[in-house]
Amino acid sequence: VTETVELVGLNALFLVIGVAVVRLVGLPFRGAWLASALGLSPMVGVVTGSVVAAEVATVGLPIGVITVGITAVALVLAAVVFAPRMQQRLGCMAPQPQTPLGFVAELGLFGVLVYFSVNLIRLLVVTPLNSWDGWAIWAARAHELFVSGDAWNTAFHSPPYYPEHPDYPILYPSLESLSMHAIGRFDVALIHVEPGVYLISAALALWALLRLAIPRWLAALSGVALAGLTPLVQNFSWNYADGAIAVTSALALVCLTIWLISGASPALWLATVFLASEVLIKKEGLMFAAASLAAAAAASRLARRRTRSLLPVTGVVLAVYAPWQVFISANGLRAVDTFRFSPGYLLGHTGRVPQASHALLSNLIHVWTLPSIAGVLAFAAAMLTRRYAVSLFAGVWAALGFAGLVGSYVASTLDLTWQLQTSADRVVGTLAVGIGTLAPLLGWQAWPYARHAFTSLRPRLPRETLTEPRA
Amino acid sequence: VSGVRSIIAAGCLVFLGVIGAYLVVNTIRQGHDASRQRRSYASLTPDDRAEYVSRAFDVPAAFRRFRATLHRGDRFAVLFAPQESAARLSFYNSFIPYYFYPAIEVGAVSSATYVLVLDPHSASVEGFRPVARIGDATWIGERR
Repeated sequence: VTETVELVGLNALFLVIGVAVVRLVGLPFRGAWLASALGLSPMVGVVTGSVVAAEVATVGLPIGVITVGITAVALVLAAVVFAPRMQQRLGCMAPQPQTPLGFVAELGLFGVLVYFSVNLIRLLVVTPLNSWDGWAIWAARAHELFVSGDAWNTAFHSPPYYPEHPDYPILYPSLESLSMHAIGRFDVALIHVEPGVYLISAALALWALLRLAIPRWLAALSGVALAGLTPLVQNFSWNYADGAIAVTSALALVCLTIWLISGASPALWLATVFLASEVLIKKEGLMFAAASLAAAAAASRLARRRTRSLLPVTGVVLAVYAPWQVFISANGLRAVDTFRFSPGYLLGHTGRVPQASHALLSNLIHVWTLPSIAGVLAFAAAMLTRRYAVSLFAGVWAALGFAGLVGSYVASTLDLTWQLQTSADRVVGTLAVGIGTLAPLLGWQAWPYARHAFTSLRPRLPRETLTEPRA
Repeated sequence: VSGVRSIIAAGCLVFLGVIGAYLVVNTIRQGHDASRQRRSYASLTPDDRAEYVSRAFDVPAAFRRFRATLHRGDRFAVLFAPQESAARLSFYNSFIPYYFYPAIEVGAVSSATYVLVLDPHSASVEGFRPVARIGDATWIGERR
């Protein structure tokens, strides 16, 4: 009971951080906005608290619940002082109107999410560490952060610990070490609680975000669908960080799409929070974040958004990543790196491209089947109905992300067959979840035109499509 | 948007709706599965959970004994028999840092204060006195 209270207390602190950040980025906490603002808060709080913990550990200061407490107090003060003075442009982003039937559907879907969440957490608190990377990398590093308090301990840079990949960023183990600090010990079962909270918070955040752009019942359906995605649930219950990067990256994509559609600055700042978290979860996070920003820049002119609005976002993301890069250099961890990005090496290994591409595509089709199909269908519908801005964004991101993953296998110094067998099914999850979570947005953009097929009515444009070329 | 485009796009969206509905049902099923799976783990004792990996990979009992010997910050090394397979050594490379932490693994015996010897040919290691013998070939040594 005591440990339950302590873990709930930690997550309550995350919630306070989330409320403060959501208020700071300019989402109103009133009326129809309240549900979205509150729904976003747990996820924003978890990632912000984890980013702060990871940064603190990286610069050599001890992390603990006190770190989270200080962060919460500082952000609440900032929100109280600055939020009322800040002028945020909400554009045409707004909670969508609700029908009585839609309300009933949303309520039912909320019930499904609660049922799933309770059962998932009840399972995770008794699940032992049982998957290789889960214990060998992430739990081991979380334990080291818990015991030593920061990343400058022996285990983070001595050769016997190289199998733990000390060059991997530390947001995920930092989050888990915070839960250990909360209960005061390392526990091979309770370590899974925060991964569970992460997944549920992400599903809730997706629901809350989409409520601002598509009908609420459809937003609820999307959030619930994300929560129960089988390979995603497995990734979190195995204590892999791949699930965390997939959902964080997906939320950043949704925020950027909402920004492209509506021009709302809170969506852009929320994207910044998720992108900054993404780069500290896994090494490929930097690549996916760069792909997101490049895709947003490519689509911004078509969507009539200012491309230069993305500059501060890029700056924040790089500033958040920089300390980790300095840490890697300072500790000579480049030696652990199994990638060679020299032009000579890459050109000499281009023969790896077909095998890597085939393996990644195969895993998209066979492991992440439904989100992949959903993404492709929604993309096709958006293209057919000339929703070019959002289609371009989704297409460029997916293409760059896929090319980046293939490139990482080309640049790898490890045996390709072994590496693909042991990682391709997981790394490709970020692509699948990304395009899958964009599907409801793309689909809803296409709907006013596609429904022409069912009715002979003239298409009626929803508010958020006003910047798109008319059909 | 032409009629044909509308029809194809509508078809895509209908299919998308079916996938969405299926995924919601899948989430309910995941909840059921989690509830069922919990039953198989709930009966485990804290010790079973802590030793789950070592039992799954059939790690020698000597590891457990060695872990009980070590304290936080102790520097240790593990010596394997030369005939140990490469796959097994690869597993130990990952398992040892995880299992024995917060004791610290060091690469060389010369830097260690404790050794776990799993090599039948190493009856003694210079500078270490045996503190526990586990079977004929396995022993734990502490620096003199």
